[in-house]
Amino acid sequence: MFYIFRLKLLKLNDRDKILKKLGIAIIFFLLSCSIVMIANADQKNLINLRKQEIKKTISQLKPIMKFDALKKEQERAQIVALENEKFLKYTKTANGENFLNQIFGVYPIQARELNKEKGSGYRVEMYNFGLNLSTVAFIDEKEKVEVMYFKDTQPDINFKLKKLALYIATNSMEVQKALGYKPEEAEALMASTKTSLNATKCERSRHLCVAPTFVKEDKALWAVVDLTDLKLVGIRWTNVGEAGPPIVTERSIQNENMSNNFCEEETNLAKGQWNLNYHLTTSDGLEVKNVSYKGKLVLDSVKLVDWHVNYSRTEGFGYSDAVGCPIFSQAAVIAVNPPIVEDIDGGFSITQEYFNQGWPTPCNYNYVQKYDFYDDGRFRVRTASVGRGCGNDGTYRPVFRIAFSGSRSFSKWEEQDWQVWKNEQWSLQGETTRYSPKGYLYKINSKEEGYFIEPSVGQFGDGGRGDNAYIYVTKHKHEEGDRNLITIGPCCNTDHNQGPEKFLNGENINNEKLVVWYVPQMDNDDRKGKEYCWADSIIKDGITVAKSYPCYGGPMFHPINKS
Amino acid sequence: MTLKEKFYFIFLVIFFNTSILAEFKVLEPDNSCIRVPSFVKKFGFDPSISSLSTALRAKKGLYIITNSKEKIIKNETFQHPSWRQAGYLGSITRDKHGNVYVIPTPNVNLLDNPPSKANTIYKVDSITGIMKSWVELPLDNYDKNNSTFGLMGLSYSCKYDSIYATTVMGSTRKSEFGKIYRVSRETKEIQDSFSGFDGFGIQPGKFLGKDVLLLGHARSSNVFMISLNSMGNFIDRPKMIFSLKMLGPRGDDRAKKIKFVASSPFIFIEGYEFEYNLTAPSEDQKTAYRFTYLKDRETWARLNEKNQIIGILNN
Repeated sequence: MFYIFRLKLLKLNDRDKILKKLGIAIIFFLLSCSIVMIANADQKNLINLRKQEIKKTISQLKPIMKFDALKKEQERAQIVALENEKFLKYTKTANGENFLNQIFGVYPIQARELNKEKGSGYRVEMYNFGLNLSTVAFIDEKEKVEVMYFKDTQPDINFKLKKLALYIATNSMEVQKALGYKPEEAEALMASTKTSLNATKCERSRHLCVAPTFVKEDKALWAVVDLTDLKLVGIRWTNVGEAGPPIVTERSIQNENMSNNFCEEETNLAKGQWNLNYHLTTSDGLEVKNVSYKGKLVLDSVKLVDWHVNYSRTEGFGYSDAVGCPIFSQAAVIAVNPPIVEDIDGGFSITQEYFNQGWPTPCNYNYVQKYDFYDDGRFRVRTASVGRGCGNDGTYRPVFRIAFSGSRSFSKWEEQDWQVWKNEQWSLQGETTRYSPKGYLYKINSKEEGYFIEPSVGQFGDGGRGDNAYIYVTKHKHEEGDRNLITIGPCCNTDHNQGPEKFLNGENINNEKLVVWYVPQMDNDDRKGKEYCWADSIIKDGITVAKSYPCYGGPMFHPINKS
Repeated sequence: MTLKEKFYFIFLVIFFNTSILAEFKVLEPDNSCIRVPSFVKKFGFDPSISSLSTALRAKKGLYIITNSKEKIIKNETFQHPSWRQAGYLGSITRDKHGNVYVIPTPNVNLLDNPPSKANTIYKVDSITGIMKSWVELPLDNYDKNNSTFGLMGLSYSCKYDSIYATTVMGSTRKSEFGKIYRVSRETKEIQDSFSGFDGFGIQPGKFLGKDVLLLGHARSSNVFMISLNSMGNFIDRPKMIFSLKMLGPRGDDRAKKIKFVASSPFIFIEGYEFEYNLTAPSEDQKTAYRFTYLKDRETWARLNEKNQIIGILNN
């Protein structure tokens, strides 16, 4: 009011100048406010702060996040521990790469814990995030140090990590959506202890996890938080006060989610001109069903029946794996995370991953299954092994079952033209195989429409080096795979005997409902720079992560333009 | 197990005197009559350092293995040609004549273990060493396209001259259709059974002077007990006695092998990870546990390898 009053008294010219200056001042004030607000918000974002701390820690000579705000004697115990070689033994890899380590606590102890009759000392607990290992130093009054290591064991988390866990849980949209509001941190129960009510484990990732729990009416919402990856693993409701509370862990949450939503339910997906259903089977991977393009049914079903792996150096050694649901299934390599639908150039893709818990350590497997659907009517059915398997001389042979809708005929490009297959048979794509001028090898068509089939020869830009695939065409029969197919073939046949051959009995396939079985063959390689169907463990930000080298195989289907 | 739990166990060890355990003879095995198969000697093995195994990695069937102090002696294994017919195998038990009984257990895939044969008990004759199908238990609720597992546990009772077996045949995620059977060794007839329980490990014995069966549960970490009548038949439904929940590195093991140990006051349990699916070649996740019953406290306790109490269990 004062300024307005004074402005009225000023001459017009001066008033304009002052208004201009005032405007600039206001803009500066607002700008500085917003900068302060951004800085405060960043300080409050505990995940960002944690990431900064991690970066700083792993760049140090001793990659250990110390415990701060300690009393003088505790601080001394921490220093003594950090100067002890045995205590530092596992803080780096054998190659000298830094793991992320953190002192979780420094506790006073009595003589009993020091195996003495009298005296006292301190126990210093350190956690290695990369190895999921605890190192504990027992330090007596004379600063003599005893060190113990505990594999797959986590110390109780400290206040700072508790705050971080609560921050991740309360800021998670999943938690907020489940509760119907954003919970206060104070509402969470026992995030710092892993006893009784909210004991949890991250068995698959072998990460440090805790479970802040929020009570709403007569139910409790468990939020399993991964403090290694700084993310929410999942949530689950339990009844408050139920006798013998269930164990809510990473694995139980994942299994329940996959079973409820993808194994026992079909998902409909309508995207662009495509409409389809998908679900996870108990041993045939992710199945897409009733696939139509522009309202016309194209495929009844596509699924991944088996994975055959044989190792060339030992005759008859290998495995025949099924992929599918994580529980109550015949799958040995299981899906633990939901399928992902994402846009790709000119269409969309559905991806499902499968893995063994110990991957990428030896004799554990990981597979990826993908369906790519394009706006122009093309689609591709593909899969990859991501290693690591039981050797470096493995050949991977996935078995696809592709059931087309309607009556069709099947042809193969021979020399100069298409030759129709009259009866059920198989063929192998080899080095001397000739393709049509556009790179197609097979054709499956009805009166109205059809598809050219283009096997991979390494042209698809996904790292695939060629399919070298067996193809089998059979007349559709319900009992030959409409329902779940348990193991269809053995691990180690190196010829066309991969399983589908048992359905070949010379029946007429001209103008019949057809099933195409497609078995690409991928040889794994672990040579540096040439890795294929392979995976390695590497250290990133102080944590062990997998570096993968997938080997994709699978054909592209091109619509035949009959007009 | 958290560090805190580990330290708590150390504390318990100090405060419980191991001599307490000697007072209790509440658990007695029912396997004193079982004999070593005659075929072990016949096939050239010394029974004192040999054993039967179904757990040789990536090897199908039953084997005789020779044990040294450190490990299995290389090449000192034997397999009779008939011992591969049932695919990969699981539990083994023996009777008073030295006959061996085994059950199929799939490994990685079902190629060698068709679910239609998953409820068949096989017998290896003590004298000839030849394996044959012994009893085909009913394939209740069998689903050709979805059944994976059948028999899970097997044990012989000397007192009742019977084979007790657990099966999960036909069980689904939402329905527990498993069965427990008592089969007469002599007549091969099913003497008793009860359904609606997915048993895992199984072991007959005496608890506080009464005949019981101890049972693992395939769906949970709980360990159950069921009383037997004077015929060896089941009196009532299984009652939970304690749980492996949150014990061991995984925290949700299922009780697979259950053993009463003669003249010892404890039971030995091997806990496995089990989710009703097949496992990867490297996924052999198991942990050994020991438990005892504290009569004066009427509760079960966990022991360490020195038979010292390291935890009290609440059911």
